[in-house]
Amino acid sequence: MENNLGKQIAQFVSKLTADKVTAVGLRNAKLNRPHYRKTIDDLLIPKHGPDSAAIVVVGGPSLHRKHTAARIAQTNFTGDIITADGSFGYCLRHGVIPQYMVCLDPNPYRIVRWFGDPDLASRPPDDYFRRQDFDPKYWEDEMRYNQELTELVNQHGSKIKAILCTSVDPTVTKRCVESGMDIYWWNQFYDDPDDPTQTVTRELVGLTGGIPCMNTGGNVGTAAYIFSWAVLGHRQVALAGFDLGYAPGTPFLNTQYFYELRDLFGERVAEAYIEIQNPYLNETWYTDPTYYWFREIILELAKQAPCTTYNCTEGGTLFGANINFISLSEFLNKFGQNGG
Amino acid sequence: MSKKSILKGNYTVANPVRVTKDEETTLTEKMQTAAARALGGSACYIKKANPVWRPPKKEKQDGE
Repeated sequence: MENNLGKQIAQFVSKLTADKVTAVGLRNAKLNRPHYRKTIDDLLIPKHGPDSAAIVVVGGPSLHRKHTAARIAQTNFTGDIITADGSFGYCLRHGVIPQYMVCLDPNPYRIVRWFGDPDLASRPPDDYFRRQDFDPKYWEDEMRYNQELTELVNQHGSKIKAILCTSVDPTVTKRCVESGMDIYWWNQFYDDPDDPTQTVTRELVGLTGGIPCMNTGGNVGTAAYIFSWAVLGHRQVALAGFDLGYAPGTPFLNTQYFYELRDLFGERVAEAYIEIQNPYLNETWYTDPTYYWFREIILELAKQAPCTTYNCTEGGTLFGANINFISLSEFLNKFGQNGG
Repeated sequence: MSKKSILKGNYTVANPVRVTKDEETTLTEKMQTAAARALGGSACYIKKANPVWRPPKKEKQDGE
């Protein structure tokens, strides 16, 4: 048994996640039914060679700290760019138009914010975006940013393939439809459909008319990583913005689960965080139990994946066997012209 | 990095928490009742050899 409180908690996160997302995910899958026209099996994917490259961009703090999107835009990268919902607007603002945008979180208010929420003024107060290290200057004036983001997403939506899990809230579906995105659906696993005693996922597949399932790794960023090799078939996959943690010196208040951890552990809240010494950076970052769980899963998946995985985040906690921790520039120099 | 809390209070982070069996039970109960809504990820993770799963043909037809 781990004797670090944060790691103890991390052992429970898998079950907590199922408790948290299953009912709402299934509810959303029913509500989204009128939009099920195409699935990830309908994507037209060219046959890739062994060096076909993709960059998966998610929204960790290094994304803005290292100016990742602008650097990608400058190099005329010819492979696929896959973003998660949270990094989508950031990429657009810096001139990177991704081929694919992956979304899966069922939250009814927060996720639509990544696309510009037309009903923001009437939403409950929420400091989630302002509090965290998401390109903070830009989030200072939330109403103005929301308007700018709405216009940007509307301008570029028709160029984007939205890879939507059936669990997304209908507000997200509506924004994707309104902005002209081409939507391809998938189901997440809630249990193991190959196990005859487990029925939730098989019933969901029936409910959605046979939409295939894709594993997620617990969060949208890992789902986008899985999508890059398991569906698109890329064999050289770079990860950007995959900090899975917080930079040295980041106040606990600015971490994603701070309020929840404080409510649970009060003055012992600091013990719930986990320090990780990154030998590539010679820096000690820290993470929380949820991100620590995500980290463990990615390390497991990287062993299983048929691709070579490069972590080009240039920060964070994700390193280990089967993860090549290199700079973004090195990846772009080596594979930048190895498109489709 | 220094785990200097923004909160008031005395605690020593450098000393790991010692967990006895009873405390572990308390933690489990606490996590499951109070934290389920908040601390989980945004999606489930099920260990599978193949990350993509398609229904057998018969099941797909039943669902349509």
